[in-house]
Amino acid sequence: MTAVATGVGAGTLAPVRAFDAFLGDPADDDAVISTSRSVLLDERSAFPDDEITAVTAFGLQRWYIPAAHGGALTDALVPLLMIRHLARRDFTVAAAHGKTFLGAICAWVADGSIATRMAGLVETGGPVSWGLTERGRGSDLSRSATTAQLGADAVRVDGGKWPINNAVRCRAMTVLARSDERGGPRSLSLVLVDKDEAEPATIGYEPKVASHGLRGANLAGIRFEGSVVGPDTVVGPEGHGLEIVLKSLQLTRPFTTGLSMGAVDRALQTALDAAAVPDGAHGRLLDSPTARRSLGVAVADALLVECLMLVGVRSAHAVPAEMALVSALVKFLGPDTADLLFRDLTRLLGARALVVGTETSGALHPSAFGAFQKAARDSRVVGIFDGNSVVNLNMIVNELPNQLRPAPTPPLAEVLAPLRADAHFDALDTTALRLVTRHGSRLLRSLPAFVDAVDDGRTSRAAVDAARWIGREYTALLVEAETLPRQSQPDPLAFHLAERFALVFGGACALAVHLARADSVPGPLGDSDVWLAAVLQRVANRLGADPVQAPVADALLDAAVRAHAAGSAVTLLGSWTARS
Amino acid sequence: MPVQLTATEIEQWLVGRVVAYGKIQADAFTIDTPLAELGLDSVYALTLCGDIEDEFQLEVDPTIVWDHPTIRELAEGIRQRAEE
Repeated sequence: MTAVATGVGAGTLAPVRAFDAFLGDPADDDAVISTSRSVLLDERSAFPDDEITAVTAFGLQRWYIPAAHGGALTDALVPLLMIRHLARRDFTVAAAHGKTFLGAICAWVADGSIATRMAGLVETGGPVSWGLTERGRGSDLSRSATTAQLGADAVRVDGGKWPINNAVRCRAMTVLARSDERGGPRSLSLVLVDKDEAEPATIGYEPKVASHGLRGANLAGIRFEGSVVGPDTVVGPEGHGLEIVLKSLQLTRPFTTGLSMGAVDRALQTALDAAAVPDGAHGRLLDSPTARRSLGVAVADALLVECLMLVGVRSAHAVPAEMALVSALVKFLGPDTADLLFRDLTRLLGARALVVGTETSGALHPSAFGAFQKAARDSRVVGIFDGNSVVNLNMIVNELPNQLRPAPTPPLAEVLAPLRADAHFDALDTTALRLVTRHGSRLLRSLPAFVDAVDDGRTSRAAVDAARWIGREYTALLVEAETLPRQSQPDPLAFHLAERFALVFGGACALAVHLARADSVPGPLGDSDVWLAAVLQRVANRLGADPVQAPVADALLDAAVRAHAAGSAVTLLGSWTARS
Repeated sequence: MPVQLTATEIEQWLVGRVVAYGKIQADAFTIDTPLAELGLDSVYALTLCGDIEDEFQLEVDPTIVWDHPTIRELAEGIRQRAEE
């Protein structure tokens, strides 16, 4: 059973700091993951073999396995931040190694003997992949045509999956397949195909996909032609494949924010480095008021994604029955905001944002800009996999009636407790996941209470005014949602409404993080509440209000520059980097 | 849920929901037509669960709609659930 304990938060992140220290300084060519090598491998579309081997030797995969099955996974924030450490160095490495977390998760949700078997597989470091999508069928998993004949003595799989990360190099794959020809959502089952068990000749591959982002990754297709595995390979009950996958996605969606944050960390690092050095006749970007406003807004966007990341992973622990909605809100707004940040910083950096390779550029470390454009391309992938933005918006539309349903809101302290810096969780309670929520998100429902709480006479006017603006928008959205016709194919207006709900949710996340952690945000960001004002003004701006005020953007940028100069990440969370 | 509510009455209510959601004519299907063929995909069918909870004052697992894939079966499932 999941539990919140307090007073042990800082110690929880010790393995995250140790991982950061192990990975070393990416500017050092001898580090486990060096930027120079990452950029070179990416240009050659080459798989980062040495890096993956080193990370596996460290044992990152142990944090993918729940403690109940012998692994190290208790608090999911730990592996999430480890993935962020990888992604801020090399997104391809993070996606390639983290894929095992995705491939294994259905077994944790299904529980039982298959979870024990999966734990054994993951422990060995053998990559586990997730076979969901098929060529020509888009995002609609219920149209899967790969078949599984579930016999008493064996399971036979026929068909193919594409495009799949680690399709060729995986040791095993959790495959979604049709086990009942009558159709309907109970006609799909999950099968763990261990390549060591199936006859090798029955498994074939399609060529590596040439991709814009994640160039070096092993993205390819796999074909099963009468692949036979044992009867104990069915993940969960027969016919429950789609249900288990949809529940698993509720956990993996917030997890992808670790990838987004890693890319965002990299982008900010490059932009802050570049802004501090003179650029020919133009001087320093840090001395240009226009550039300063853009940079400050980019920092606000980064902090919004970090708030979404924290709320997403903590909600998975604290309110699993709400994840049907929360995971969709986080998975829509997180990548959408990261994409916006990259677009804005690309405009700011100009030609430098398009530089490829490892050539030295002025006073900066070689490969800085090559790494920026790699992160820009790679991070775009997050908005596409694990349910694209349209899929997530559709889920939000479907959930709106639940959010509107009258329900009591728990006391503020109870809503905020999971976000506190000293909160710690023992396990993910996957049995409490639900395919639809009963009352939407309690965090979103608490928005008016957050707004009142922040208007305490101590919080800056800039933050309170923006909070009030977002609070009014939420009230207006609820009224609008009441009139929304319920239909199986929502019209574009409903999608637009869902997008605005997601932004309001983003505002609620920032307010919640502030209320829960105001005293523990590391300096210099934590020295004032300017970060909150900037994030809320930015959210309000995206909803139609005025842009972030220049003094607010300026003050946030100053804090970010100080943090960056001290060698720290620009973060609201303390004690997750080796230097903290 | 009123104990006297019959499966037929539940079926009629479900027909009304399906017509409203799928924007289809009531005479275009029967209570034995699979919901999946009525313009309600598997994920969207789950939102029916909320309506069922509100209408019949029940707490049901969302997958009740998957486990009872026609209006006739679903009405029977709801009736049984209400009796528990």
